[in-house]
Amino acid sequence: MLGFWDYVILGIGCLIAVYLIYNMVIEAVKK
Amino acid sequence: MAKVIVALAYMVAILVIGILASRKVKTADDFAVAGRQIPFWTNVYSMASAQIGAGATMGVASMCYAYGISGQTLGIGAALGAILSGLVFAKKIREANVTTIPELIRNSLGKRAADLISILSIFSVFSILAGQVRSLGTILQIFIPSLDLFTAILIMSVIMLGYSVAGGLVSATKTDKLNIIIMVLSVMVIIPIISFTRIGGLGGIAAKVDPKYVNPTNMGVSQMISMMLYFGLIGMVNNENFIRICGAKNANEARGATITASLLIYLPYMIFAGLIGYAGIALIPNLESSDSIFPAMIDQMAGGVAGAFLLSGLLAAVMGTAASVAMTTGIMVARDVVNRIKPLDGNKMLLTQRIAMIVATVAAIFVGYFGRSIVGIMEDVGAPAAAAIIPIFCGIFFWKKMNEKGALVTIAVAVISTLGYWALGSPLGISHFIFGLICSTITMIIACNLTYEEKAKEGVGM
Repeated sequence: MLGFWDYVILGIGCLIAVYLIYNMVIEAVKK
Repeated sequence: MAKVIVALAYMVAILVIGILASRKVKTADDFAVAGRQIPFWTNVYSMASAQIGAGATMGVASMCYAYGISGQTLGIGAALGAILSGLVFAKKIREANVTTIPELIRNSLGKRAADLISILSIFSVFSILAGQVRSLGTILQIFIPSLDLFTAILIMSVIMLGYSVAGGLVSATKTDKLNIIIMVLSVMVIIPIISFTRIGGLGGIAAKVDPKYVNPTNMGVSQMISMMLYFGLIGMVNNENFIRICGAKNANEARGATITASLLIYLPYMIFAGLIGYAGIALIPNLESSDSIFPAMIDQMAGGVAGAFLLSGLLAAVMGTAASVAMTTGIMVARDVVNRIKPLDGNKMLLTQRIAMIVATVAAIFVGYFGRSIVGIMEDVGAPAAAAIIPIFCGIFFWKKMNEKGALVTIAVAVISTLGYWALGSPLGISHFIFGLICSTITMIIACNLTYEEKAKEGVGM
């Protein structure tokens, strides 16, 4: 059973991954 | 079979991206610093990919597996060093408009100090290259276990050279984008989710492991401080990041990209890699060697194509750093050694950089193959160089009394004290690097104060 801080940690990982992929796509589209 | 296909797909992708990008390389500066035109976000990904190698991923996981939470010291120390480097040095380095650390020292202090520093720097980056090349082989062996280590090292080194010799920093920055996305998805998203769900999160781990692993000082305070200082300070004068800072469009972008890469990717990545090792204590206790906890975790968590993808994250992490370090070694040998002996023009410099990169990698294959554990190689061989470079680097930017005579004495004391203390078996309980750093810093302050007055009389003040 995951606790509150587990969700926070896993959420941070997912957010960073999404942001990096988003940035890469935006940069590629701009070109 | 799935592992072989994924490994092959990764290698083909990295070769295609790298070789396509290499068509833009026309001059020696294109090769070394991508014509000083690297876009901001491309540089962020590239800096992070260069920083995160075998030491980061497998080393932090290994430390946390061996010592519990306190093993995070390695990762946090290294990331803090990189952040500090961005805050303090990045802007000044880019403004200096140089390509390598010895070039900066040559312009600021003079040829003799620069020559000594270039020997130490090349020694230092070469030791990292040997470690990375060995890691490339050990990771390929996980994909294809029937390969012996030497053949695995050889195959991966040829692929790494295949794209980076052609395209230098231009190819490296392009392939680093693919590397960093695979690494982040693997280490910061998929593996933590699977392992946390399987064991019940941090609470589940704490309930299953010996309480000593939850103790934040289990490793021992002195060893933690020593490790944090070593990896933090090494991170501040990182040669691979140095050329990326020099490749930024301007000084503000150089600083911004360094800080963004360190805060947004490097620091969290290190913490997640450590968490994977920490979860491993509960999931796979009694592993023979802590060094193999990371691949062992992947092996236990996912099979087939999914498991192979997670492993390719590791391959990407090591490939990015290995290519970067090989390139840095080649660039430094060409610019700071060959060019000093016989000045090279544009085309000859480009060719020499490429040849030097190949020669350095071939030498690293042999050193790496006969070397010991991954972190061990890095720490033992790079220590005298770091103990000399760090105080001099600080002095150049922040101390007007910094001068060549003082720097020469500092370098000599750094090398002698680090190696001498190490030969005596590190009797004071601190590492040979920290001992050497303290000696060289004190020496620099005294020697530069004395020699600066002498210079002022001659009217050649800094």
